[in-house]
Amino acid sequence: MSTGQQRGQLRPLMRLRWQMVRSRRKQVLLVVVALAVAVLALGFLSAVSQASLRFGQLDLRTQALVAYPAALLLFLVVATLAPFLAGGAIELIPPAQLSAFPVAARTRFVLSLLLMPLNITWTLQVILLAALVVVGVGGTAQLAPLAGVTLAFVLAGTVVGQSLAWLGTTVRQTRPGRLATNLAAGALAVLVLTRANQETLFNLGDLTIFIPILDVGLSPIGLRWVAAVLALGLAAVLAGALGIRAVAWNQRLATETQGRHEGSRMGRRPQPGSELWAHVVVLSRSVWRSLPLRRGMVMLVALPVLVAAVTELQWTQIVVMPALVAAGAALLFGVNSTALLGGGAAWLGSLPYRPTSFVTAVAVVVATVIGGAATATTVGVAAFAPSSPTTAEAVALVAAGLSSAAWMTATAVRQSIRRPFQADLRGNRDTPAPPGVMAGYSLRLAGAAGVLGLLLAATAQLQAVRAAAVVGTIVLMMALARLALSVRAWRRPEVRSRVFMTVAFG
Amino acid sequence: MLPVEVSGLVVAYDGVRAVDGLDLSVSAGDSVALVGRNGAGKSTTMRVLAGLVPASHGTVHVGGVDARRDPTGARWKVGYCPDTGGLIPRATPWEHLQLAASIRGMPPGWESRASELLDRFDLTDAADRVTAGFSHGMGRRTSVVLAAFHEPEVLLLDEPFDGVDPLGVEATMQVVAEARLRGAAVLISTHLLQLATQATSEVLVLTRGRLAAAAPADELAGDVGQQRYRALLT
Repeated sequence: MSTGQQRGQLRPLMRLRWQMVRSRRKQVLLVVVALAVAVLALGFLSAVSQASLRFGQLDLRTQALVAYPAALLLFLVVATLAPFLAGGAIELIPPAQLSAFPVAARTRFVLSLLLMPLNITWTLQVILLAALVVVGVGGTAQLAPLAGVTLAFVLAGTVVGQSLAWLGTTVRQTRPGRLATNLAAGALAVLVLTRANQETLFNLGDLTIFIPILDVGLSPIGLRWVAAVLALGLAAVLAGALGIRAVAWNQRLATETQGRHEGSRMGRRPQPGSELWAHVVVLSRSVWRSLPLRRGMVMLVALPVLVAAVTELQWTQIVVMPALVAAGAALLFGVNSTALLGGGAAWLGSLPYRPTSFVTAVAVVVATVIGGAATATTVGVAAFAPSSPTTAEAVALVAAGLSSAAWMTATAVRQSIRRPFQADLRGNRDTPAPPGVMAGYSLRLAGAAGVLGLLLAATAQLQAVRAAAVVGTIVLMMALARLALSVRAWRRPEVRSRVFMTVAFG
Repeated sequence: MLPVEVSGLVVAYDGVRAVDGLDLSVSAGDSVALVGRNGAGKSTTMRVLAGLVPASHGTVHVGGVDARRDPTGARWKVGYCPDTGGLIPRATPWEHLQLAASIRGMPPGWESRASELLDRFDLTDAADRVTAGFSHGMGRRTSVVLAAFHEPEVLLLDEPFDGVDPLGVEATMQVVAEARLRGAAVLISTHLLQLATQATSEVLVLTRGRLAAAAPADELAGDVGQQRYRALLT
């Protein structure tokens, strides 16, 4: 295939995806939401800039510039981890739907780059970097050079991160690659665990490699600035070439890897004792036998624990964890949990099942996964806490775990009934809903998790035991009420028909 | 009352009528084929009978139960093989059978019937593998096993022969014959006219959601039947 042909694939694919948005109203809504996010981000940056200029606080400017190298490092970490957690990238159209078309590796790589703004963590990091730049040098002659070099860094960092993620995901699809990455992960875990509580693994001195970027950005635009931007551009080009090769390799391996997992023989277990338990068993197995869901769960629990091991989190910070992890777990499959049935929804829908037993089973499985992830993370993170918690901190932590798991479960079950999608959840990059919808869910769930986590962290900070219990109980009750409404909706035959038909036939 | 009685059935999606005033009935021990072009309303009719899709208008009785008023009651009477998929991707055929046995409250001993059916459809070796890795034909055969497993009063098979090898077709024909012998009503929706005429006694031709013609199966068999069928479609 010629380069011209490969380039020509990008536009038709994007047009096809746009046409796949079912109604004109939804297309208009998407444009309005995208514009609103852009306007809000620019408004935020403008407000931050105005505020920093008005108050003229030299300290604030200095603090922003001091934080800048750390923000660059954080951005690189996010730019690599975010696509890696998504199995390499966010896909515009599920690969299975394009299997009959010769979509080039280059097209898929470029599309994955273009879709990065749909990853909320990446977008927030970009906004954070932009905010540090405007606070640090807003209204001065240094704004243009620092903004330029930051933009070049963001582009290069994104391409490097995306390439590493594709490479890492692909390497893990081979037996030696899996062995090597498991050993590396194990070694890292041992390193972290053995050195935890003795000294922090990283300190600000490690960030010195990013200081020259700040240095160049604070200088007038000249030969040095141009050379730095060109070097970042070259890094992006080289990383891009590596990324395209990794995608091509991934395309060759994908079918083989999937087939290996699906050809395995499963052991027979005794028949479940009740209808409810039979649903729970089938749905649970569907979760744990799914490659992307298993990987997502491991990452969701392991990463915060590793971060806690190297950063010595305080209890008020640990209190925020359960809600964030619960939100992440809900995003793995919970927001479209009936999709676990796949085409089998059409068959199950023809069985004389009791509607309440099925929806209860869905809630039980979603709650188990969310609660399990939140509990495992909290226990892991708490093990590295520098001291024992006070009563208020312990109560806030328990309240955070219970209420966030309940709230995220209720939200996930509600969305599963209101907005079902057909989703395979077989491949590395499969998500329970289309990329745009997932971005919306991320924003909503992370927002709810943030508010709940911070509220309970505040009660821990203020040593307000009763307040923590009250907040936790109120959220728990609200979640149960929400769940009851979902169960009531599920009792309606037309609702069940719509969900099962969508999940089974699209 | 006949095991399958449908009168004036209308199914509309967003204002479009997929089925538009259909009447049909199937007697106990009889088998009827639904044929027609793509989009004729065959699968939608099967889905209504299976209790998967509610009817917009009309009356639908399955095994003597009003499917519109009591869809769950109607589901006790049917065994349904959907036109595509029909299988939970990360569950094995054996786990599907366990789920069906649990939901239908089947007494102990169902395992021997399940094993016998799996064996007949050459699925014994695949019984403990997840269905996501199945070929299309294997998936179809598994769906027929699931539909016939509990010996339903009404057997609904939507495209059961699609992509299935000759041995699988033979096993499906045997399942249909056995169902008729025990007095079940069988409704088969298919594009394969020759197989439809072999498996059933009457063929109903649907066009645009309506009944265009009904004929005894032997009248639509062979080359002459094929030509007559083509004429009905155009």
